[in-house]
Amino acid sequence: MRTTLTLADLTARTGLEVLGHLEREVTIPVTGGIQAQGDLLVIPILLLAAETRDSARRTVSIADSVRWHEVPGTGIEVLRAGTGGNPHTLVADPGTCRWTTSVHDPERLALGALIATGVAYLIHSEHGGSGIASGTYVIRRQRERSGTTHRSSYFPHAANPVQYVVD
Amino acid sequence: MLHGTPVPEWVLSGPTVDLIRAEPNIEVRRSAIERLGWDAYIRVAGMTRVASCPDPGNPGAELGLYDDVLTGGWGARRRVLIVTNGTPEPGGHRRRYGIDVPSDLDNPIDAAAWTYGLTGELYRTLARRT
Repeated sequence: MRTTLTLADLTARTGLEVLGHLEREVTIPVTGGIQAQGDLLVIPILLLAAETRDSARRTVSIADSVRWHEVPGTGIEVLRAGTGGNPHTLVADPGTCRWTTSVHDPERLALGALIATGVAYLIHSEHGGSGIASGTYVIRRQRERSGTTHRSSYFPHAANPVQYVVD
Repeated sequence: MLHGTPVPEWVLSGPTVDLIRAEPNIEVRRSAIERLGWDAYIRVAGMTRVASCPDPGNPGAELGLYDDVLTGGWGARRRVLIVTNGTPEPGGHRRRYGIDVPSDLDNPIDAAAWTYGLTGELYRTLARRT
């Protein structure tokens, strides 16, 4: 997709709805850096690799044999609505973006990874649009500490429970 | 439902600090705290500010790190990072959320970075938050 889309353009092209008070006529910024959309974070995979290169920590990795899915013009929900949240949908021109959920993330926060040869966008009904420049990125969820005073966690039997933020 | 968020009955009938602390769903906690008002909640809960700083990629917003010492005499402590949405609500205000973070994190940037599994150094480069 081109780099000068407005939110109005994007909703018209995808059929996805956003809340009426969001600014629709301003061009959505496109970045190749780290950006957040509510409880999701888009991170260039090279930054994650560089971050762990000099330490003993394992890094995020995508297997060579992984199956990539073409992102259709109508988009892919990278995080579906549930427990009060709204979906985050990845959209791109057909043939310009691929998505996989087969990402190994030592932090257990990755929803998946995308490879974009053109501009891709992430859309959310409350947060509007986020423009993603061509490149390879990991999309992570947000977490909070669990097991303090809260009654439950999403993986209560895991050695290190992860409680995800859902907004 | 409260402003589109499904919430348990206690949020509407009588939100208290203890009920809010025990609630695992961050949206429910936010809804309940907004019923009381953030300033009132912080005061009644006895939360104390550890540090604060501007939120990278989120102009005008602040990251606030707080200690929340639990009542009951056993001295347990939560550390809570208060963050602000990058996108305004229909009335123009922006929602705030209290996220539990590890209690050994003293820097708001490091705490925000931890929520996404990053280092503070990387989180400082965040270009945009919506």
